Amino acid sequence: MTRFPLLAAVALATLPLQAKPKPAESPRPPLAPVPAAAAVSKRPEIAFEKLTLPNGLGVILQRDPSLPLVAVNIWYHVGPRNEAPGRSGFAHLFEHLMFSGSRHVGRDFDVLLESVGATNVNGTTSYDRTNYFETVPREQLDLVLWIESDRMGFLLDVLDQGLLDVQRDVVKNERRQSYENAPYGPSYLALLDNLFPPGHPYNGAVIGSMADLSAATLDDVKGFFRDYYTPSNATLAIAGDFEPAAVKASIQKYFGTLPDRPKKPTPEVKVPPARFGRYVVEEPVELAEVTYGYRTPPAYSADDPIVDVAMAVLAGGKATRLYQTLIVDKKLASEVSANQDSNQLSGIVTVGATAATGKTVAELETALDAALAKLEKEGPTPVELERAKRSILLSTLKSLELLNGPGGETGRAGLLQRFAHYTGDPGYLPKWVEQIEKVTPADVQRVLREQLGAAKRVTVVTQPKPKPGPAAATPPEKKP
Amino acid sequence: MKRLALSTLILTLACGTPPAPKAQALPPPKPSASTAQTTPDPEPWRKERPPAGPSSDLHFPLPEQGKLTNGLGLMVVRKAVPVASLSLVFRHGAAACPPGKSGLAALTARMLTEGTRKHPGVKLAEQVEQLGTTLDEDAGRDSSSLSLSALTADLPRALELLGEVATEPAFSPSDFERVQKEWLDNLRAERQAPERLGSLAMLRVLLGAPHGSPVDGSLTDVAKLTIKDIVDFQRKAYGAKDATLIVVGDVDLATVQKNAELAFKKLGTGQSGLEAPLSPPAPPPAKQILLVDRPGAVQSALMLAQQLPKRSAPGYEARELLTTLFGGLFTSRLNMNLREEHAYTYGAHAQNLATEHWGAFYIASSVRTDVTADALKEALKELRLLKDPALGKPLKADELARARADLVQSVGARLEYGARIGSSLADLWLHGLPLDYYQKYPSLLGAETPDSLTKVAASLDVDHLVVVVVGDRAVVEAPLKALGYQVVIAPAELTD
Repeated sequence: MTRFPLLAAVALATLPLQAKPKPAESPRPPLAPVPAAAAVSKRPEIAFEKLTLPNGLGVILQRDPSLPLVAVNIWYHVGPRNEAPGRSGFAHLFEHLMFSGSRHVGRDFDVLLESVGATNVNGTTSYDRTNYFETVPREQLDLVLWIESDRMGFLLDVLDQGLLDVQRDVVKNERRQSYENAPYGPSYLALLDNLFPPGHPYNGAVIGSMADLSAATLDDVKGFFRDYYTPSNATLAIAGDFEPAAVKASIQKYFGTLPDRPKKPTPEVKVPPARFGRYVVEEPVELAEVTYGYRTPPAYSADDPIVDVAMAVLAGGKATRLYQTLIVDKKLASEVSANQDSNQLSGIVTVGATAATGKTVAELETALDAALAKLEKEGPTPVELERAKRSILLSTLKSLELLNGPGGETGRAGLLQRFAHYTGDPGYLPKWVEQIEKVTPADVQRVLREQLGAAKRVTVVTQPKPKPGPAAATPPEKKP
Repeated sequence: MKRLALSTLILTLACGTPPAPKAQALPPPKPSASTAQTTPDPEPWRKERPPAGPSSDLHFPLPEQGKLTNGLGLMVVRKAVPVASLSLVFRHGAAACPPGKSGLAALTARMLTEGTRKHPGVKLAEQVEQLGTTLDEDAGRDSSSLSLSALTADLPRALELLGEVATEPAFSPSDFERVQKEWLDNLRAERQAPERLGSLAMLRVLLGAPHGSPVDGSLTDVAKLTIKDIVDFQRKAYGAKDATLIVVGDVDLATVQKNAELAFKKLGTGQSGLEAPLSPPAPPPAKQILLVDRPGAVQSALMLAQQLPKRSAPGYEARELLTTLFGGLFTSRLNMNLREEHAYTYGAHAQNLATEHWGAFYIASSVRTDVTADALKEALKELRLLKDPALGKPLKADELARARADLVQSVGARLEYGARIGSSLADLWLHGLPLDYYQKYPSLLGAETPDSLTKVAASLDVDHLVVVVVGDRAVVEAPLKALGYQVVIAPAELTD
């Protein structure tokens, strides 16, 4: 969930200048890295410096003077995982309110950033964390620190019911646009709702339910801020062209005096199991689709990188199993995908296929099952495994070109934050690369058997809804 | 000024008096019910906006240029990154597709990635993916391109593969048969999205065929394409004289040139002048809405557009600035109204589309079904205010400054990413712009004033915009008519 739809995304959806059908591409850039290949003699690393202010704020600095730009990316270690019962979607709604202004900066937040040409400005919410980021010309770094520290310390001074009401409605529009009115959106909500049923901290698909969004009060907002938006529950990353001594002085100036408050402990909840089974959702689409959803081990646990490799073996490029069997050989599908979204409590794997015209979901399911079973039985070939690992490495190296990625999870600032959040070590990259390098065919077979078995999945089938009849059939004007 | 204004505001709120007069770009803060502002400020020093440091300039790199013996152009930008970006760009795209063959350029590009004579079918993908990369093909309005990225050490192999793909395609009929079916399914899938249905109808009404036909083709046209069409198009459009190879990475021109000579020596000459001139249909009557019915839809995709001059026509930078301040920024007039003031939408955008043959001012937003007409009314109101300073919201220097900063820095942000440096250079080459264009860009933008932009805005013909709504007719039709618009159900061929 993001605060504002990216123009690029809108352009793709609305402007056919660039849009085109693409084969089997993962919507999520692979985050993992990796190896091998004589060409990569040494594991990639990101040089950085880490410090902690007395009030508990974590700071990660990554200096790179090659362009006169600097990216700031703040992670608050709070997400839907911390939402109170009956308040699904709250962490994300709160993210929107973080753009409403603060005591000293006022309401001109966006105007200030735009007037200095800030790029990649956004906020995003994922299950375990919320982030806020912007890239500016280096001479404007203090402006960003001023703004970010003011909303960390003084947000509540200007928040009121009117602001909450507007952003609540904006978020409801976001839910409509991203899910309810989007092809396969309702099916995806059904998948997540059954993977993480009510009672699970991840219930609500980050965006939350309309009813829960309606129920959120100004007191909820204030309580959430006090409980979680505290310096010791946040990490500030800065990447780009800065003078280390000067930036440390600025960080101390703007963030050092913000008082810490203890973070509200995350309640230990007994997570309910997924509602395994097969669910059918009717939608106004032309092509049927089937998606298998699985819960997988936590981010950066021992099996997490193995699942990533398994997904890259299944789909991603054209020389992958699902693409070759379902699209090329059997001609059953027009699109296939296999992805993992890694999170703290549980990863989410989706393996899916969109039917080719005239093919049924039963045929897709049979073929998907066979492909998964074959991979589990025989394991990937050494060449397949090598290709998968190299694709993960190359996409990570590409991501390292950026100071900060579009969702604040990639690029140098984003990756450092990601590693810091999930492993406690911003410098985890080479270890992660090593984990990927070490994956064996037997590992892939084992995770398929242990984590991705048919008994442990939620299957969602999207069936085209019968059409009520073409609109033109009704005359545009009623005659008297 | 700003600081002063802010402290006045805080005082005003604390006293519970009505808010200050309405600001131009931002809705006024609402009177706060909370009393938090009355608490003493522990850190009043924070009211002071930090001063900017010494300003820095971004320098867009000038590429080293070369030419192969067969005429293929070469641009190399040296950048110290471990991954090199390669892109081979041809000057023919969707605009070069003959009548009744929309999608031909896009499908030809796709078929090039389906195998070569040396590496048919999946063998090509295996070769490419062994480098950890994928081969990306793209057809736009004015160009077709093949690109991939590779570790610097793999550059010779990457060039070799790119050359093989461009010059020795397998073009197997059985692959074509499969890809054509898959392509048609992807077109069907795309047409499930309301925003896509709307843009299909919009560009067809605005530009006619072939320039308003979808780049990826219509369902009808693509179903009729043959492998012979593909072979013909590749022969004509993929010629060395109308092409350039762009490499960004840790590599020098001589090395690229040496490897490229070998890789691309079989590239043909191709043919120029494939593009038909623009002959748009008669504009629709005033105050007409084309409606694509989506029963039960919870949102309507709303879009408005009119033609503007093409990319190379003078005044491009002014059109960019105007579009950006109207609907490109978060604080744009359009977004502040539709999203932040009225909460009709998650976001509203305007873009200045510009190709070799045409340009368009293009507004799009997905809005809640029950406020579809209200959203249209507000968008039209903002356009009228933009157009006519006498209506009370004249264009201001500060919104122009934000638009300019955004455009300048957006070019700067491309410097982070090798592939985006490459695509930016490809744009210059395609549109015949000088290679130092991005260096002059800030001053070109800086030459525009509120007055000069207001003159550009005057060319917007608010009553004659093409308006498309994709939504639930049962709910939206009556309120749209009540705005004084005629509502016409879009014929099916507009979304083909």
